Amino acid sequence: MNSATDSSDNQEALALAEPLTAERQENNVELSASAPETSESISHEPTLFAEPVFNLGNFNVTNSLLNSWLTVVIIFVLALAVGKKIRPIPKGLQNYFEVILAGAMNLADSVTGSRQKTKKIFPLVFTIFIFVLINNWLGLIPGIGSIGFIKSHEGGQVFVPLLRGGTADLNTTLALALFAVLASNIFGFITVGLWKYFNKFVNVRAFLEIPRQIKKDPAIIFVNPIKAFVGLIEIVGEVAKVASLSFRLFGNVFAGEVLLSAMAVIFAFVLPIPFIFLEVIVGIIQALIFAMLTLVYFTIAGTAEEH
Amino acid sequence: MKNMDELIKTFHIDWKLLIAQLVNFGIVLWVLYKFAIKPLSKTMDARTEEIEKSLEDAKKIEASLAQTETERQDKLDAAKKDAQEIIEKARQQGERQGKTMVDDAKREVQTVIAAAKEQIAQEKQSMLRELKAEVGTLVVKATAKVLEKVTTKEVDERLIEESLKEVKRQ
Repeated sequence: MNSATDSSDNQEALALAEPLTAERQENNVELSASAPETSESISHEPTLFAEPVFNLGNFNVTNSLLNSWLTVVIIFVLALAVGKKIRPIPKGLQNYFEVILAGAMNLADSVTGSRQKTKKIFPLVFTIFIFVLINNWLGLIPGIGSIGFIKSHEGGQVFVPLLRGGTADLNTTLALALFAVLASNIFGFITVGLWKYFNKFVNVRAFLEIPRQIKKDPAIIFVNPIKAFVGLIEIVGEVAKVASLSFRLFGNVFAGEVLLSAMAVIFAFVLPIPFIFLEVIVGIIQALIFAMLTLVYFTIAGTAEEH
Repeated sequence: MKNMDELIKTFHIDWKLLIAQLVNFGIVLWVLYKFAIKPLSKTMDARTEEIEKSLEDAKKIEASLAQTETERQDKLDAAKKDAQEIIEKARQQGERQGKTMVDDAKREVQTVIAAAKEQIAQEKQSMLRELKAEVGTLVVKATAKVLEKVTTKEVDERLIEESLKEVKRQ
């Protein structure tokens, strides 16, 4: 700290008195020599966003994207290992996958209410679960987030990890959330029918019903405009779904990484271990929540409105 | 809109990255569906079906086994009944046959006895006849012998007549 204040004093002195060049140069050398020794000058804090590691043309490949690719490779290998030799009498890896699959199916059945419906939605939801789960857990492996390189950025020097949890980047979670909500809406209008599904949001039918039923039930003139307004709120709800899905997952995983690095700063040995276990649990819970919510959105979109 | 821009800047949201992550997810979806979920659920369903079928088959087999068992029992019972009947019939027949045989024997005995009696009677008759003849001749001889010495011609004739009469009457 002393040298820094000295140098600023010197800068001021320089501005005032030009001829003291020799002294200035001496000071500058001193500064550059001291910089790599003191860690304060390299920013180590976890950033809210994934840092670009290298460029492909004008496409920034971030560390989170790298991790995501790793996830894809892992799932690819696992799926191939299972799918290569599927036998009617299960053996080895197939056993575990069947248990997971059957459990997930039963869980999904409890939400959708029927196996037929589950079969339509299940592959998507299960994939979301596995993708998010592997991404969450990959971020916890030692080395991910701690191995990297130092890059000069906006004057200061910044430590950029080579890998970063895939779901610790809003791009990943936002992509998943957008996909989930869009797909649930598409599923909705395929199963319910375009006109019916459209009326869920822009309730034209509610107004068309008024002249037909007004004699039977005069209150309809108040009720149906309210219904139409509720439909408009549903549009906001769809946007809220995207926001809640993406920010919940991102927030949890990112917070976990911050927590772990904070613990490591306090005391690098033993202390982070319980928190790593905690993060393992958080990883599976968040994956489950994301997948279950997607399943619920699909189920709601797939059932006709009953009022 | 300004808030939105700030959001995008804070979190470094990049549509290229979004698309890249979507592509990742798409690959995972395709791979998982193609290699794990679809074939696994297919084999699992097939297995469930097979087990259900086997259980049903086992039930069927058990039922048919029970049926054959009862059928066997029925047949056994019927055979037993038949055997009983046959034995009963044989016994009755034997009885009847014995009775007829005894009857026949009795009848034969009766006829034999009757024949014997008749023969005896006939023999008696012939013996009597012979006896009579012999007695006659004896009487004739004896009387002749006696008359040779005592009787006259008249007496003689009368005696002859009388005895002739008697013989004739007989």
